[in-house]
Amino acid sequence: MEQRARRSDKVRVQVDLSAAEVRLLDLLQDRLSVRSRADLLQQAYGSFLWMVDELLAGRKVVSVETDALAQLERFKELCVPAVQPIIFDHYRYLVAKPDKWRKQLYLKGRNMTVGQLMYSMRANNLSAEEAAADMDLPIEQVREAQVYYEIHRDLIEREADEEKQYLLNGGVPLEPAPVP
Amino acid sequence: MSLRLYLDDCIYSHELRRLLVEAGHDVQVPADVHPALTGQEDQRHFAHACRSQRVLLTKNPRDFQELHRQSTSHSGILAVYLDNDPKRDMSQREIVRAIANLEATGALLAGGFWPLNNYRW
Repeated sequence: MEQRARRSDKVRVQVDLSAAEVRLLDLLQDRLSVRSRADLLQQAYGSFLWMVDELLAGRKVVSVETDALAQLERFKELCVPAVQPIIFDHYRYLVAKPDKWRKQLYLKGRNMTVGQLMYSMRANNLSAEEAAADMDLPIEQVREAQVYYEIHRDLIEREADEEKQYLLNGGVPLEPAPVP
Repeated sequence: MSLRLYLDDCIYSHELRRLLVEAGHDVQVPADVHPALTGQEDQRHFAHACRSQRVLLTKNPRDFQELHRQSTSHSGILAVYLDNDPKRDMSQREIVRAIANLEATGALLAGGFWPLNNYRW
């Protein structure tokens, strides 16, 4: 009886999401080790309510570097229990290369950027599974790269533009030459 | 004409290799080298291509043009620029065709930096 009562307290909500958003949710569910999408959304809902509450109380919700915290006299910290254990290992299959001019992440174990992978998949109409098989990459790495691309698309496109400008300034032609 | 090609880490794919071999080229990839060069930095791939006298194929034009500026003692660099515009994408088949188009011009590849986007017709 009690169980039935609890069940009846729940309301099913249906939302329309893009394929990229669903991929992101699936990846987060996997990475945060939450049991279901419902658990994931509950965590997101809790964080969102906290932020709304702070804003309604007339406070600002900001993000600062850890070492800057010492300069603040008073602050409240948002805790997301599922995120804390992985905070130092956000991406499992991607890696930064600070000595490179590109700031986007690279595929761990390959000298290949996320952009190079994504644009190659687009050019050849490859699914994540097909790309993984064709390029000898773990499928999880390709999926993680897809999520990173969705989140950091602006950076990747900016770096492609920067590369183009660099090449054009250096006299490298990128347009098809007239057919001889 | 058959080229001795080396596929850089960022362009390596089974399908591209298959298409290039089908087109008559001799193809080497980072995993073929002993010890394997998979995951190594650009300089290592460049040095290997120079040493083994192979034409290097890459999707990283900016960094390899930089290496080309430092030394033209190589067998040639074929570069594919990845544009933000999907209409300018080069598929693997188009890359193979662009190499054939470039060869058909009679250009001497050794010591040159060749953007394949310029040979896609």
